[in-house]
Amino acid sequence: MTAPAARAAGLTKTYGRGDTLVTALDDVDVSFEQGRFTAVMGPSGSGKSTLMHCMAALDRPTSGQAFIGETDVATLSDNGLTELRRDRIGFVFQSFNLVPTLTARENILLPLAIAGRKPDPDWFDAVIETVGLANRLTHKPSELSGGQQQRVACARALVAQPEIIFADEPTGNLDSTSSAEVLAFLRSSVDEMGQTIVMVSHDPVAASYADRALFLADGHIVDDLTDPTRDHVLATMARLDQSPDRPHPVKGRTPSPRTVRTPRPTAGSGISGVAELSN
Amino acid sequence: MWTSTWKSLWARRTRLLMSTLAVVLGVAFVAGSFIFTDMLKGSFDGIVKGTVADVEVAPRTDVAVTSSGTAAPLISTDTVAKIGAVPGVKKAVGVVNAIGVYAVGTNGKAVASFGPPQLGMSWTTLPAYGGQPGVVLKSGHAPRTDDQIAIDPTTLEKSGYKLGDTMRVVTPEKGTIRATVVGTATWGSGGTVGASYIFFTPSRAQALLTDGRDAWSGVKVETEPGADRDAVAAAINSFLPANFQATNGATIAEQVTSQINDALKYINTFLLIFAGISLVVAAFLILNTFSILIAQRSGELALYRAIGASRKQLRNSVLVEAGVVGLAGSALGVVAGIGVARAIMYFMTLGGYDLGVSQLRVPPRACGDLGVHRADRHPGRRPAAGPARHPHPARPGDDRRPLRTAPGPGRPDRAGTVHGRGRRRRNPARSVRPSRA
Repeated sequence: MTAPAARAAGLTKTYGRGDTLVTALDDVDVSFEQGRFTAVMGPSGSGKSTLMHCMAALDRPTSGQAFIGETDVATLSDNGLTELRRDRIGFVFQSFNLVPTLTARENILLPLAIAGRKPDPDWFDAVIETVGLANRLTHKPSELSGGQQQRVACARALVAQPEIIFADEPTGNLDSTSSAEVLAFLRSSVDEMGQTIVMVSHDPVAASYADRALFLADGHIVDDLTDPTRDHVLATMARLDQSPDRPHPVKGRTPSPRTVRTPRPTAGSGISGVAELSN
Repeated sequence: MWTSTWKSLWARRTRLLMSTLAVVLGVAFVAGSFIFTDMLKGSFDGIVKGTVADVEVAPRTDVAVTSSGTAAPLISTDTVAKIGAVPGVKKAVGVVNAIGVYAVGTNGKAVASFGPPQLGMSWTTLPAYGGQPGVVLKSGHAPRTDDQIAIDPTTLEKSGYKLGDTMRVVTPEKGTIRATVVGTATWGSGGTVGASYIFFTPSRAQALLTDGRDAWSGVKVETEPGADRDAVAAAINSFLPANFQATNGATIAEQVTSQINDALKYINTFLLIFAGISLVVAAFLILNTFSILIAQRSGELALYRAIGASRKQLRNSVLVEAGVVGLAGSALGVVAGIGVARAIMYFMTLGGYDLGVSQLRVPPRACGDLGVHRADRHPGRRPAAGPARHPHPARPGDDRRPLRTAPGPGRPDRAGTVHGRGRRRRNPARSVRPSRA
């Protein structure tokens, strides 16, 4: 493998202070290889979303470094971060976050429009074909199903050909059929287009599409599976949930991912962790 | 990026309309206040400038002689002839003017409105100051015999008569007479703002409006091009009767204008206070509306940031939105301000300050207020041509018709006098200030 697409070194993130100090990430070292599909798993409050936000420069680490390629995101200015997000990172959000006033095509091309670049027609066609949206391009998001909207969001992330795509619970708002479509699409974009994807998820099924599953608990990486299967993931999560310091001992089976979903920090805006960017 | 900005604007058009409305209201009140006061100034300006001849000979105003009707001072035809012989004078015409001359309509009622005067005067074609049109014939022909009259088109329409009809006219001294309407005419090119004009032949005017002698209530003088009007006035003064005075038309215009401006000052202040209040309220309203709009968009803006839009791009998109709303709102606000100004006029009319029919058609540029106070003395507040269109009073090119305003609004004596006031209508007013002032 070549140099990692992204890596963290001694990454620590704390919230609050004194008695209310919460350590979301505690000295995490991890790298994400190019051309692979990595799932970041973990129970609520394990720090997986925080890890993604710090890696994607949506949040600033308390200490340690996060690298995209060879770039330490902590050293970038606001403009530098803007360019980083614009040219080198793609995002897929749980709540899709499409611009409701634009058609599917315009949403997909929005990052290029913002960057002032022309889309590569061949690449655009390839992405559209992979996502299976060719006959939906003129529809507004409100005229698309949840699964279709998320595929539009994935196409939007892909079309700019970023170095890495961060997907934050991309199947969290989808039914199982739509989840399978989206995951299959992410999988194929890695296999056929060589895309690098980091996905945060609760869903063991989602993790089974990945090349690798990282498990976080209490701000630490506690396990690292290669080519995870659903059963592997379930077993690992059950083990984590039963560890002594977890607040909710679960008998028998793993709690459904949907019931344990991490509260979204900015549920109102629908964009977790990025609201602060707008100020 | 711009495409998405426009689309986003379009998608929120209802909300934007509301904020535009806030801008429109704020701007409309301010613009309306300014337009209204400018209309007032503009009409009076136009009146003053359009009705003054190059040199006016009128009863003195610094002598406490308040007389009217047959008691007013008159100037003899011989003196008029002498004035015509003064070097620099191209033509001198004796004129007769009186207020309180009413046309009686087909319904038997006098055509009148409260405020603007009803003027009777001798027909003259002498140009106004600087060679501009004085009395302009609109239809028919000038009165040629003593039983013929010309009146202003608005009054004719109101009266219900047509050209060629014989109608009754009420005069202040000689009671009701009958005359045939043979033409319509106005001063300059403007409207009348409610005033009515009835033109008689000079001899009939003398008979009806003075004591019947061959004498005049004033003299309008047209000077030779290039002549010094002040010098001409001085030369005329040397032989005028003591109770008459010749004055450069520009001087009269200035005096009258400054008196009018003084009188208008309180209106300006009053309206500007309201405009100021509405501006402050509008500013808060607009600020608040924009804050809400931005708050509602914060999710969308955060998304744009996440997928790579720079702060600058977002700021520009917000500023463009504000700019579009501001420009559209301001433009509409100015238009609405014209409506506000008209509304002010309308309510003034309801309050008894009747500006006359011409107001509906022609935006009231002249307001009645001043006119009301001084109506008795100034014959004309001139109809402005459209108030709305000429917000700037000073514009020389406006066609306002010359009023037959009395000589000096400010001069009390002549105001009341039948004769005194009317004479200056013939010169074109516009050049007034540049040339002589």
